[in-house]
Amino acid sequence: MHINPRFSLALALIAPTVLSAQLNVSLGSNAGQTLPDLTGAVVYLISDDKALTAHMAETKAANASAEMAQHKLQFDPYIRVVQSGTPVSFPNKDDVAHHVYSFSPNHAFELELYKGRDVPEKHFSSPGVVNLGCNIHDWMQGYIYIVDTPWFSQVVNNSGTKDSAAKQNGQIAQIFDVPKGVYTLRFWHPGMDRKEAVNQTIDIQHDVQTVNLALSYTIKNSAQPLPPEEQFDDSSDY
Amino acid sequence: MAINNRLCDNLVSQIRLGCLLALLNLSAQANTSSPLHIRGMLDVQLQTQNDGSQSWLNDGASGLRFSDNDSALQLAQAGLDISYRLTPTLRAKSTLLAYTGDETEITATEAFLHYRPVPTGPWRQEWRVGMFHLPMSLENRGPLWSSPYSLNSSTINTWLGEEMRTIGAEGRWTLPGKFWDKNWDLAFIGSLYGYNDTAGTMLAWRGWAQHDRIAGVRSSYSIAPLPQVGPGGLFDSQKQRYEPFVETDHKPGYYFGSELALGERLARGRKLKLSYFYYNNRAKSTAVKGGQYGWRTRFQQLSAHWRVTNSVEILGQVLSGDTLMGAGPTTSIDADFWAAYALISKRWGPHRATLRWDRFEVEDLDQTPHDTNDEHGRSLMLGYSYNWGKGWKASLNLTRWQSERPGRHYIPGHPSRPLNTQQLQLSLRRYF
Repeated sequence: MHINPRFSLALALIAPTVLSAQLNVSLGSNAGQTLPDLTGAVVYLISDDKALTAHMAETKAANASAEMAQHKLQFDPYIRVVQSGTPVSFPNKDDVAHHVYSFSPNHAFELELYKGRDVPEKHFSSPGVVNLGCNIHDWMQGYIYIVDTPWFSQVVNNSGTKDSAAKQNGQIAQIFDVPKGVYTLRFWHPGMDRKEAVNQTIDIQHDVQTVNLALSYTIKNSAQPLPPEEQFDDSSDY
Repeated sequence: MAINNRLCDNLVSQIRLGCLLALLNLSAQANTSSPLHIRGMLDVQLQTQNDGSQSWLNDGASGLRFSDNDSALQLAQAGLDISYRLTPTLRAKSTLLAYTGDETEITATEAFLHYRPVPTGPWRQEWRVGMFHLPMSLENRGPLWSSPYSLNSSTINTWLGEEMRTIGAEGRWTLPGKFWDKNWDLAFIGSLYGYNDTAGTMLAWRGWAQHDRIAGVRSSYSIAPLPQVGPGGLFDSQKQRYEPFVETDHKPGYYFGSELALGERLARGRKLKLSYFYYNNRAKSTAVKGGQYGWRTRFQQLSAHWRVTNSVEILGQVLSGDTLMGAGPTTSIDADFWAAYALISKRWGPHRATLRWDRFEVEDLDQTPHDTNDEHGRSLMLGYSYNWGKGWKASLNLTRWQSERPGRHYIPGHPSRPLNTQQLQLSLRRYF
């Protein structure tokens, strides 16, 4: 997601007054599972202070925009989290046409993404999952996760990195500029069952605080599907 | 006069072929983002066989494509798959194919509209209207309905290519697993069609075959000189040329089926794909139109495609049915038929090796004299191909075709011995 530099400046000015902190969320499993790659999994905070949430959300939304591109016959990124109301663009970076759709509740739409055609941005107002597909390339799968809070982030997987210090961090998400206080920590990934929810109460008191989010259920490996292998003498089943 | 006509026909075919080759050249320049998408293929073959048999395309009794006295070098096929996007969800598609050698021909084997609306719920629907292949072949997945595995198709899919075509409408309703976080996809398919009332003629009067010729719009093929067929014979209304796509009785036929794809998602499909289809052309068996009889043909088809790994595949298909033409136990043709094959193929780098084993039978159930339609046969195909990349592919196919069909002795001069043909084909293909 592109963050406007003016917004960063505004945050820097506000930060000391609201005693904002950085929250590191480290993923683990209580279900005895070696976690699959959860890159892009969504971590976000819900505050009981509606006024604070509304104020911060408004400030942040006014400057935010997001992109869900189609690149090399895949959605790029696989998972994108946005605050409700954030304009999302769908640039087609391929040489072929895409026809992106969703029939997720409250988020049904379709966009014909042909080369050289201007496509308006989409605004998703209600929180939840927007499950994306392409009507031309059936294997393409992507997700936009809409949250009703300004405090969110996505998981980065450090386990494959060569930097041993970073590697120790494993799969981690970092949320910045969070006013100190009590929140409910939530988590979402396409590999979790729809009925399974995470609601972990946390009290942020330090400038940099780390919490362990131990998932109490098995999470499926829902890695982004690759495009089928191209063969000029054969067609695939996708 | 007849010679002049033939020369004229040949000239027209040559001109058509010239136009097709020009289009092939154009297709290489098609822009992938444009609404027009053209793919093509050109296939040149060197072929030889050992037993002096005549192909069915040359008034003979062999089910293979070429005859012993045919030229060794053949332009086996040249063709185009043309797809034009009319709207984001509606495409017009057609396949044009040209063959030289026996029964030189240029034809359209498919011409249809494909409607694929954007899903509005977990069921995806698709429609095809026009003329198109039945959705049953596991082998014929390449451009022009070619097979990536071999130069000829199995007996089942050869028959589907020469006698079967949907000329009508087909709906497909799919429940993709990705909409449900499941590891399987389920599809139901149903169709209503016409113009397939003569299907069954070839199985009864020629028997099963194994080749790559696909019939198209207005295709017709010479029937071997059988005394019971044509003027003076018991079936005297039949013209000397057989036409596969004819409506004799204005009764639509139907087929329906289901496909289930299971297991993990590999590079080109799920681990296992199973299918079942039932076909019934509902032809009135006593109808005759334009020198073609109506053959009521029904069959069931079961198939399995197991992707053992990304490079090893095992395919199996079984088809079993019956056909009925005429009325009365001594003036009709009533036959059961079945065929099956198993295929194993392995790819490594640019190489592919394939082994296919076929069994096929026709059982004559009527008491009509001088018209035995029984056949028992098997074949083994060993294929190797090399993909150079950039659309070039070289293939070598060795087919051993064994068929015992007593009815072949009706053809004047044809020995009564079973056919045991070994055919070697060397092909160079250019895909566009």
